Amino acid sequence: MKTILLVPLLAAVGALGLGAIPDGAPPFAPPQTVTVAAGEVSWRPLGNFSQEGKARTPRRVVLAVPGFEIMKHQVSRDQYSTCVAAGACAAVPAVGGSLPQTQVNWQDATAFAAWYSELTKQAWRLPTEAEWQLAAAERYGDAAADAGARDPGERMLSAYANGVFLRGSAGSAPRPAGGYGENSLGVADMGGNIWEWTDGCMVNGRLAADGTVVQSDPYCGVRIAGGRHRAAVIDFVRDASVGGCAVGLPPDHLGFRLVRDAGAPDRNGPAVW
Amino acid sequence: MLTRRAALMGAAGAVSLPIFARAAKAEEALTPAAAPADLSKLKRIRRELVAPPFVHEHEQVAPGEPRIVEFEMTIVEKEIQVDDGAYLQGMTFNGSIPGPMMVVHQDDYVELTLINPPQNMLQHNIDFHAATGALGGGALTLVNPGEKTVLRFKATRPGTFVYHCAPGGPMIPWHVVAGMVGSIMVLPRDGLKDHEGRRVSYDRVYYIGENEFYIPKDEAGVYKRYGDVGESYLDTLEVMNGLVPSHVVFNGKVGALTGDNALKAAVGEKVLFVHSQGNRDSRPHLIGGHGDLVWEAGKFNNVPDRDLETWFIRGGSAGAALYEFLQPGVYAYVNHNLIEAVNLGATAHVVVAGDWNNDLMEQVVAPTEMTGI
Repeated sequence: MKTILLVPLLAAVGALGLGAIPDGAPPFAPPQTVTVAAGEVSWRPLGNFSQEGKARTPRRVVLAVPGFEIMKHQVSRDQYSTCVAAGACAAVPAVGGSLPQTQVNWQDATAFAAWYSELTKQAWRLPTEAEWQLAAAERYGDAAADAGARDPGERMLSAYANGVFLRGSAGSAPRPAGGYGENSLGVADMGGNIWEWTDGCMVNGRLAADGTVVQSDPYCGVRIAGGRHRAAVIDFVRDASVGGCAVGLPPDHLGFRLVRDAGAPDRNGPAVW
Repeated sequence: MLTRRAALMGAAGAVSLPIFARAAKAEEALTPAAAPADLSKLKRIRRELVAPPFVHEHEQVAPGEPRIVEFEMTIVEKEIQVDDGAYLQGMTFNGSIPGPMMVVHQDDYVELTLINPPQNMLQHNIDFHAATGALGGGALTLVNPGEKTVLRFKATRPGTFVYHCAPGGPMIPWHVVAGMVGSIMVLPRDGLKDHEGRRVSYDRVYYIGENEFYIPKDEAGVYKRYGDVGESYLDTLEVMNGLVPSHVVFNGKVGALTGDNALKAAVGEKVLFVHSQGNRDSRPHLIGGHGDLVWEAGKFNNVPDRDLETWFIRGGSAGAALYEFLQPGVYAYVNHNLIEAVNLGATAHVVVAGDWNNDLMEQVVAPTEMTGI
């Protein structure tokens, strides 16, 4: 396990996650959720992998994912601002209104989950990468270079072409909740122009001759955001649209939605409400 | 009594104070003392301009005697989205930022028809840095909405040059940072030459026009949007005078030359990059490549610099860099003030096809866990 960069300022922001929880009524209507049935995803980690000393893309493997419950919509600006007002979340540039909350980093999203869990006595958290992929269904995108791409120029061109294809018409300002419609599972706005933080980390490792991962090591200073094409973004970055690699295609906006774990105290009500 | 000097000053005053230009017009009719140039024996050719980063069809070596090369440009005032949530009340030559690049040969005559349609709000003109006299043509081309004008000048000096709108006083910088800047390339009649005077050619030419914008924000830090160009003026002036741009872009908007619109090339191709900045210094750099031959100041009578990593474009000039791509992949062409490149927008991509050369570069050990440390 590599050392995770801890920025003092962000540690302080994290500490705010234990802010005062007001008594009484919840600060906003409970979010709608969608129950995603257990399923399988065609999975590969995102990061730097090598085979006999050369950069390669891992082959996909089938991964079983248990069922889970996820917010139908991304966390809104109004919802996030309630956490800011409670002193539990850091203030961010994008404020006000019912638009999805953007300009949040991984720390902000995590702080919101901790605050909301404490408030509701339910276990809310960011989705894992595999959960996000399952929930995204047909809207999942991954711009990794094709597994067959071998020389550095070919790998760059392949990843760029995949990213350009997946991006399609992404771009421009965030749309109101529902603006990108629902996917086949009824989850709204997956793969719009707001990338969503997951709990996944960038991974480095080695591949066997058949392209499967034989050794890997997470680097959690860089987290994975799901979207039209998966993006690896440093956890304290709030706007990656201009902060991508020089030749990469960066996410337009960064937002998030949460998963609610079963078995948490006080959980009641139907799966979709 | 109106002296000659007073008349000239009056004309200059009209240029610098455009608000009075219409009233002063009647007194501007200065009859030229010299006889008109007789160019009746010269051939004419009309070139249709194309939007950057592309350049109209042209010969690299002049096909014969000097010609009169006709161009036409229409000035378009329009709102342009320059980034997510950021809109510019733009002023453009021919609808694009930057304006289109013209190509002629040394000693050709450039004959431009400049049209200011009645839908526009403002006066405009054009100052060619390649031209000699009359404020680069600016003093002869001030057109009100609903007017057009024709200017001819002789392209006496070979090189890449900026042209821009310069309608007087504080209108000058405002029109330029609203987008009214483009370039002209005057090629030597026998084409470009390297540092030893040998002829060189290019397989492709791309025109990278760099512009910086000063878009006002409201109290909440959100970019303001305006109903028309006039409404945007006072706020924009205040931001401009702070000299801190909100955006620095290639081809008029953030990301304009990336993704589907990335520049294309192939290994073995020689690409000429012409880079202009009408108002502010820049420093182009091709990440992963070089400038084989660079006319940093853009003037082809000077010996080109060789093997440059980064070159300098003085504000108010255009320069040219020739590079043969040697390796496939994706290149970033940036302003190597990296804050401007990455955070403010000055990045283009070049997608280069071809076969990888392991002699030039090879991955010896891919990033891997250190052991035994």
